[in-house]
Amino acid sequence: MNRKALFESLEYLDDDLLERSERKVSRRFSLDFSKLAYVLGAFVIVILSVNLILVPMGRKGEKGTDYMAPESSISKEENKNDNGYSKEYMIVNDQNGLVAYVTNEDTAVTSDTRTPGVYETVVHDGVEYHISISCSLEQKQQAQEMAEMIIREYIQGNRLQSGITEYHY
Amino acid sequence: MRDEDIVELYWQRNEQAITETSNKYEKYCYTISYNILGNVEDCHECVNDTWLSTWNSIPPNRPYSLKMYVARIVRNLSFNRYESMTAQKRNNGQMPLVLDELQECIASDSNVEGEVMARELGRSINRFISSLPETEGNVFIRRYFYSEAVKDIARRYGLKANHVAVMLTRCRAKLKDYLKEEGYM
Repeated sequence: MNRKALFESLEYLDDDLLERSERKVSRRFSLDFSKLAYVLGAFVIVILSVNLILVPMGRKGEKGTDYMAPESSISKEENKNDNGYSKEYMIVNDQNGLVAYVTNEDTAVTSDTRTPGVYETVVHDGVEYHISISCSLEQKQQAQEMAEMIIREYIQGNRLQSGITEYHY
Repeated sequence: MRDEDIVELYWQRNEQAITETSNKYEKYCYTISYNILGNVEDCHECVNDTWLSTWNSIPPNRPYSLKMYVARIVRNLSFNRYESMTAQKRNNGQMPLVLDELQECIASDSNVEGEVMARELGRSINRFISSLPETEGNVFIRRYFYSEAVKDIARRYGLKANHVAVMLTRCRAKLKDYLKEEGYM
């Protein structure tokens, strides 16, 4: 056999094989749907992980309560609200495990019908302060006393320190 | 115009068939011829001879695929012209490389004579290519039927030229083993 014979014998290749080789394939720009599905699947898993696991882990607050003090807002610097006075935030803990969130921010939670708790609003030196204490029904009396203490000791006593978490025993 | 309609024109001995074939496949045939000859003038003649040869062979033939039919004719004519060219150095086409590469697959001291043997060998190679993965088979055909340059094959299939070259080397080694098994060597 010589190479010419081999070359010439290719003349007898099937039309189907020759036609098949005519098709151009541009892999650089082709869309691989199986890979795309993997990528989309991974993306969905990441989104679900963030929403279902990481976000709840990042929240803090009393178990069984909906109101949770936004930790990030505690550490942020004071700034001015629309009324021109400084926004203030303070979290006060007591020995019974109650947590009070005290702020003069307009958007503060002033009442919550979903969970039992104490929500007080007082005006001191022309500034409206809101106190939010989430608690069970059994703790409502203690929470009320805690709110009165905060009004007396911190608001009227001018001891509010923005961004500070204070433990009151 | 569809291939079937053009073939029908040939059967009616209508010269419009040549015009239609030329309109549809001139560029395609020219590319095949140029891959073999690498010379514009010779290509032009081969392509014109292809139309004449097609006219003379249909009827009695009624090709299933006119495209592949003219491809075979132009390849054949171009190869014959290539052989008749004594000064191989004038040649810029792929043929010296293609034939050298095919040499790897065969024993140099044996011989296959005649169209019958070539046809039988063609059938064997047909089976061989069908047994290859599709991309490998296609690359083999583009190289050894169409005599395309490696870089052009790579571009056609979105591969790197090195990848195509390696693929062809493996194909040739496989073909050599296959032809031994089939008793051609």
